[in-house]
Amino acid sequence: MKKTAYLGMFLAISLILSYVESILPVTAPIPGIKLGLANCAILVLLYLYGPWEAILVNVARVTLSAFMFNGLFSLLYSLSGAILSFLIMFLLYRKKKTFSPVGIGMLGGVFHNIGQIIMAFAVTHVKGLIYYLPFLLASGLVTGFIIGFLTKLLLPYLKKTILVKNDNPNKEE
Amino acid sequence: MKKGDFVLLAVTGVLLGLVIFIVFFKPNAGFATVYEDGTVIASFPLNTDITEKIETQDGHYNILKISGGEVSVLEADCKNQICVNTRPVKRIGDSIICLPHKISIVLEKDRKE
Repeated sequence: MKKTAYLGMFLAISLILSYVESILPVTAPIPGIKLGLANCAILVLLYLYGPWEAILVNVARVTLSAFMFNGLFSLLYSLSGAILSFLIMFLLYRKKKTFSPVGIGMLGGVFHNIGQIIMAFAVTHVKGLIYYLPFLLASGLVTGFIIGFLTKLLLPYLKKTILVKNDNPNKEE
Repeated sequence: MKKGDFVLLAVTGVLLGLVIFIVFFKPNAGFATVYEDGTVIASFPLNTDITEKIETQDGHYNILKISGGEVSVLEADCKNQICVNTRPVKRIGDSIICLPHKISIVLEKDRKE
């Protein structure tokens, strides 16, 4: 029961991060470039609770934020990006002895943009989209790295908090 | 950061470089194909310099210039003059498009009939 409450809290946090991001003035010259702050919350969830909980919150977050901030049309793009990015993060997380949150966040960012561009191509069939690819990949790399680094800094503090520890003793390292 | 992170960074970095290379470094084209409303109306080899007037079915025109393997539009009787202001193109996949006349000039490797 307690877990449900915490997952709800994480959902709220990730929604707020989505909201903050949607009101940040975007100066990037290419549409689709963003920081991916909400992914930070998802990455934390992945580490603290596990993949199932993280994907659940992630899908709920994407759906709700599409309804609230970004418009329904963005749902397709966000969802494909979020799911692909989550899959790769999950695969890397399973080998977490080799990879730190920094690397996982980085690939998450890259694959988020790959997922979006695949969906954009499926919808529009515009071949010229391929010219966006290098920009989106590079930006995913950089923002993903930042997000991963943030997560790495956050995790030790979050692991120490009583609320997570008591609730989930098995996941402690 | 762990060892795997550096491997990831290196691999994605190399892949990114590769993608940039594939996307932006295209070989020079061999032919300029002119489409009117999606159908081919003319095709010019890029190795001979010419200046050619392309007349559309509704009586407008674009003047196409090929010089040194580069294609540009010198003159057109359309309102927006976007095709005229387009920089000369020379690589495969490049194009000059005149929307008011439904004319598009696409650079291709081979001649289209």
